[in-house]
Amino acid sequence: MLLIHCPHCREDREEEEYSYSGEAHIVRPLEPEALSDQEWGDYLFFRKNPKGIHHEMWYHAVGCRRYFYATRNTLSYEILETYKVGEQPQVSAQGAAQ
Amino acid sequence: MSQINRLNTGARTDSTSRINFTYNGKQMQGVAGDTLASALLANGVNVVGRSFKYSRPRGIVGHGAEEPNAIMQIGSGAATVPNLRATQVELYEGLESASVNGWPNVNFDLMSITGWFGRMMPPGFYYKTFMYPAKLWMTYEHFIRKAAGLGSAPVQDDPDSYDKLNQHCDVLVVGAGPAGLVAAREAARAGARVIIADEQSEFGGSLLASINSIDGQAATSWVDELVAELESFSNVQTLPRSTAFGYYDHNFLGILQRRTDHLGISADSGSRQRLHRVRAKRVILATGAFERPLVFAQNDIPGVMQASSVSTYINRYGVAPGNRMILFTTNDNAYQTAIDWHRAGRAVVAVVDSRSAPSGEIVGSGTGNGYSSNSRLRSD
Ligand SMILES: [Zn+2]
Repeated sequence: MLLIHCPHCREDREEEEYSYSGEAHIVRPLEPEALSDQEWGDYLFFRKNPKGIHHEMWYHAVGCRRYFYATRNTLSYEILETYKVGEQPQVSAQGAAQ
Repeated sequence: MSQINRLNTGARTDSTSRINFTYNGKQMQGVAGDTLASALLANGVNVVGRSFKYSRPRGIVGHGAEEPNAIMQIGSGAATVPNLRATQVELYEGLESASVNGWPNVNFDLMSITGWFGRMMPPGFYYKTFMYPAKLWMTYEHFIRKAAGLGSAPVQDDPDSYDKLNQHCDVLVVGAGPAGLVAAREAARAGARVIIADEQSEFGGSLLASINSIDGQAATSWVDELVAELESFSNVQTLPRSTAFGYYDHNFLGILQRRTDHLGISADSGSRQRLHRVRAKRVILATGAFERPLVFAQNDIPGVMQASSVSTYINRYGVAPGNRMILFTTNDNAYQTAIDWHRAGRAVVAVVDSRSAPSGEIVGSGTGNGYSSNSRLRSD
């Protein structure tokens, strides 16, 4: 049972209020028809599965019902930060942002 | 039966009170503050169970959650509970208890004849060896069923109700011995919201069985004062009879509080047990330690007991479980048990120390306490 901070509600809430929504920062290609089948397949189906720092999307399902991003360590389950959609992470696999 | 091993000096029992209970159908008496285990020992009960395969007789070894032998069926009918440790069951008027293995009973156990065929029943022996010839299996099975399993589950619906509570606090303290109590007090004085939980009926842990003093005050009265101070804080919640059973992510803990079990099963009102789901900012684990049993041949026979448990029965419950004692130890701590035993008016036959030259402060205090410190083995 994780305790997760919602950047919209600005409160720590129980994990059971949220649902997980996969990898974060995936941008839809501006011209899908210009992509090869492989590039389109990568966009649709292929995701990182890192051991360690991972940026991911969460949905505050029974709270504000808004999406946000979280930086989580997939080994320790430690949640290093949460931030709103449109913002950039302060922590990445390469270390803290400058 | 009478309480042949009862002393009138138990720090947490009232030796003038009387509580009636039954054990395997026999009427017995204990006193207020007893556990079922201390009451059985007071009544001179030595055998409380049988080992699983060879049906060797088993006695009470410990005084708390570590007890392996004194497994009891408590109550009867719809509210019966199997497999509780006698060391953790508080005595109440009318308590019914029964040992869970041993057939026809723990004192005369037909299964113990398996012990006579030791060579024919190696450690790998398994009851299904009896499955052939097939037409005799039904006959065997009836008796093998009696040999297997512990206790019996109730067959009627549970008459009790249970509830749960979600809680938050700044500091959760697990264990209310000396370390936990002081930690809770310091956090409370600083204004933190504190929950302190302990599995026992009262706070104090090892101090409840201590004859030492703290700050010039008897340990037990030091506990009473500290607990009173904790209970005076509005920001402190005290949870006795509450076992913290799981520590999950981000300081989330589960605590089971037994609210009415000590009053007799099926109390009339309220929930019998409560699950506390606690999210704490800080968690302090002050769970204490168990004594590690020594390994030697025949160490499972009735009458072999942990040193700390002997002291606890004498000092906390006012029960001296026996008359003559041999103390076997590897460290200084156990010498306190020899002192306690001697003060209870019983004979310390010998102190056996595995070390060649034990020389602690408490070891040296043996003169006048019933044992000698200058020999590894002393005999009366
Ligand atoms: Zn929210």
